[in-house]
Amino acid sequence: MSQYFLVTAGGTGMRCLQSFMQLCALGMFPNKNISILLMETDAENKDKANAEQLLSWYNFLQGKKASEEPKDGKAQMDDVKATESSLVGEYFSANIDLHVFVPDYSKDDSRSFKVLSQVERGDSEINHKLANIFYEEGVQEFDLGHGYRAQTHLGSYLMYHAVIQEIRSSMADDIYKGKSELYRFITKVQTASAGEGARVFALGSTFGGTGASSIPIITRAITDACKILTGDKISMEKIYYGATVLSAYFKFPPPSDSHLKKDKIIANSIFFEHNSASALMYYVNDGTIKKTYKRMYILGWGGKGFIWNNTDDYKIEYLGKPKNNTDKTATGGKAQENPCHILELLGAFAAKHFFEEQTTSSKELPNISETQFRYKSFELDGVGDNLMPKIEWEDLFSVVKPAKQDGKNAPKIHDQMKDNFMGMVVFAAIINSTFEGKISNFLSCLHAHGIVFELTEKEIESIDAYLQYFYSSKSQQNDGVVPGWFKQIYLTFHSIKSEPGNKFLGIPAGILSAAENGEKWYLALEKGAPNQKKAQDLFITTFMQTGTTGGNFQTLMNNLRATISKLGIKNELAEQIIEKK
Amino acid sequence: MESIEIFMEYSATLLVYHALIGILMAGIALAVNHYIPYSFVDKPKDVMYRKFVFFGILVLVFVISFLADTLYVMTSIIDDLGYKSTKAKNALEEIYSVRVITALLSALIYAGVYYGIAYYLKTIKLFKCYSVFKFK
Repeated sequence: MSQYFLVTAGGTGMRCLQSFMQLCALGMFPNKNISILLMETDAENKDKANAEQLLSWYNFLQGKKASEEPKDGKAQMDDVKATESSLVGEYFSANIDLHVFVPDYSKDDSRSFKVLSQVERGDSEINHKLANIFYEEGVQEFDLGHGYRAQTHLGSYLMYHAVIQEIRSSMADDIYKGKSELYRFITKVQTASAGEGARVFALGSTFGGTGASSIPIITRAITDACKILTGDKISMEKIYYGATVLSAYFKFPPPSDSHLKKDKIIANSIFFEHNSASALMYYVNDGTIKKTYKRMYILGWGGKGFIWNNTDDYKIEYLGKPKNNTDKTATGGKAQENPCHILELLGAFAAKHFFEEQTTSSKELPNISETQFRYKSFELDGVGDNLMPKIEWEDLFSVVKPAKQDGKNAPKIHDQMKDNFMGMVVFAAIINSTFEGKISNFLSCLHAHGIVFELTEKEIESIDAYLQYFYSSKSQQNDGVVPGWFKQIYLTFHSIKSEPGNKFLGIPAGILSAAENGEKWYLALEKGAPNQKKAQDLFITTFMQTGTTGGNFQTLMNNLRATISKLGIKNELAEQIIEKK
Repeated sequence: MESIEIFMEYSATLLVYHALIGILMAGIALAVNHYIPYSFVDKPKDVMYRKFVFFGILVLVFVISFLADTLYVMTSIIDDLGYKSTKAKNALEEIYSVRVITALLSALIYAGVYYGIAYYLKTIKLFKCYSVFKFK
C-alpha cells in the first residue's frame, strides 16, 4: 500500500489544509497515516495559525502521543473493522503527522530578494542588470516576511532554493537535521518511494503568492531533495504526484494609493483571474508538468450564478471589522484570515480521490504516462438572473463500485459522508444551544442518566474548541455569532449577503444560518420532531439505545455516529428528486 | 362456617384486590415515567421526576391498600356480626390487625410488577422506567 503525503502551501493552501483536517476529523480517512508538509512564507499568517491550532486539537482528540510512530500499512488495514467501510469511518481516526517548513525571511540577510541573492556582492552592476531581466525593481525589494505577494516568478525561484538549502543544511549538520521538519518529511517520502510507493498530493492556489509559487516547483524540489538524501540513488517511478489547480474564487478590495506607495508590491485580486488563466495554460501545456503529475484536479468558481465573495464583506459582517477601514490591504500576518469556501473542501476531497485505492488504484498509477485532468461541474438552479449553484453529497465524493467489504445493502458512500458530516453539525449545535458550548455539561447530563464518559481535561478543552471552530461560537465583541468552518462554507457558497438554503447539500434552511447558534439542529433529523424538546428526547433516547454505558472520547464519538445514523439525516434535495419522479 | 374458611375466603378476596391495585398502579407509574421526556440540560431532573412518580405511587398504593382494608374488613365485621360465629368475628379481627402487612403486600406487588416490566423495557433499550432504580 502506498504512503500518503500532502503538501499545502500559501494562504489558500492553509485553508485547504483546514478542510483536509476537517475531513480527517469527520472520518473520511479512516485509519490512514498521512504525512503533511505545510509550506508557508509568512510565519504569522492567521490561516496558518488556525490550521496548526486545528491540528493540535486533533492530536489531543485522536489520542496521539508525540512518541507514537505511525502504524505500517498492514496494521492500518487490520484496524479497519470488517463492518466499516474503508472510505468513511470513525471520527478522528486518521493519523496525521504535520511537518512545518517556513523559510526564514525575518533576518536582515534574507528579508528581500535583493539581500538574499547578494546582488550587491561582486560586480553589483552586472548582478543588478541580470536581476532586472527577470524581476522589476519593486519585486526585488519588497519584504518577503509576508509571503511572495502574488509574484510567482520570484516565489517559485525562492521556494525551490529554500527547500534545497534546507536539505543541504540538514545533511551538513546533525543538530540542524534533528530540528528540520522538512528533512523528516523528505526522508519519509524517500523511504516510501523505496517501498511500495509514495502518493504526494499538493494543495494550493494558482493565483496568489506562496501557493502559486510552490505548486509548480514542489515535485522537482521533493525529487531533488530525495536525490540529495540518497546521493542520486532513488527510484522516482514510485513517487506519484497529484495536485489541485485551484483557480481564483474570492476577491478583496484593491490596495489604497497610500498603501501601494509605501509597500510597492501588494497582491491585488483584480489580477487573480489573469493569474489563474496563465497558470492553467502552463499546467495544461507544459511538458514537464505533464510528465511529473499523474493527476490534476481543476477547480474553479466562475460564470453565471457562481458569485465571488469579497473577503472584506465577510470580515465586516461577522468579524467586527469597521466598515470604513479599507485603507490597508492585508498582505499577510495575523490579518490574513479569509473565510473558508467550498472549493477548498473540494480540494481536500480531490486529495481523498487521489489517495483512495478505489478511485486511484495502485495498479493504474504507474501506467499513467501523461497528466490526467479531472473536474466536476455543478448544476445551476433558479430562473433568469437568479441562478445559484446546487451541490449534492455525491458531488463531493463518489465511487462507481462500493468498497470490497461493503455488502449490497450497505449505505452508499455519500450517505455515510452525510451522516458523519451532519452528525458533527448536530452535535456541535446541541452543545452550543443547550449546553452553553461546553461538552462537560453534556457529559454531566449523560452521567445523570447512568452513562459515564471519562474524558481528560485536554480532550474536553480540545473538543469544546474544535466544535466551536467547526460550527460556530459566540462573538467576543457583540451578541452575534462567529461562523465556524462548515458555516463559513455554507455562507460563502452563494454570496455572503444571501444564504443558499437547501441548495447546499440538501441541508434544511436554518441549521447553518448566520444568526443561529445551533437552536434549530433538530430540523436536520430525518425522523422529524416538531420542536426542540421532543427532538432532545428523541436524540437522547436513541443515544441510550446504542447500549452504551460510557467509555472514552472515541466511544462517545462512535455512539454519536451510531445515534445519527439511526435517526437519519434529512436531504431535501434528494427528497425533491423523489417527489419529481 | 368454620373460622378458617371465613379467613381463607376474605384473604383470597383481599389478595386479589391487592394484586389488582398493585398492577394497576404499576401500569400508571410505568406509563407516566415513560412519558416524562429526557431532560437535556446540565443537571437533568427527569430521573428525579421519575423517582418521585415511582415512590409517590408506592406510598399511594400503601395508603389506598391500608384504607381499603380498614374500611372493607371493618364493614364486613359489622355486617357479619349479627349472623356469623364468634370464630368468624375473630378471624376477621385477625385480618384487621395485620392490615399493615396486606398494605405492604400491595406495595410489594406494585414494586415487583414495575421492576419486572422496567427491566424488560431495559432489555429492549428503553431505559426511562428503569432509571428509577439507579441511585447515583
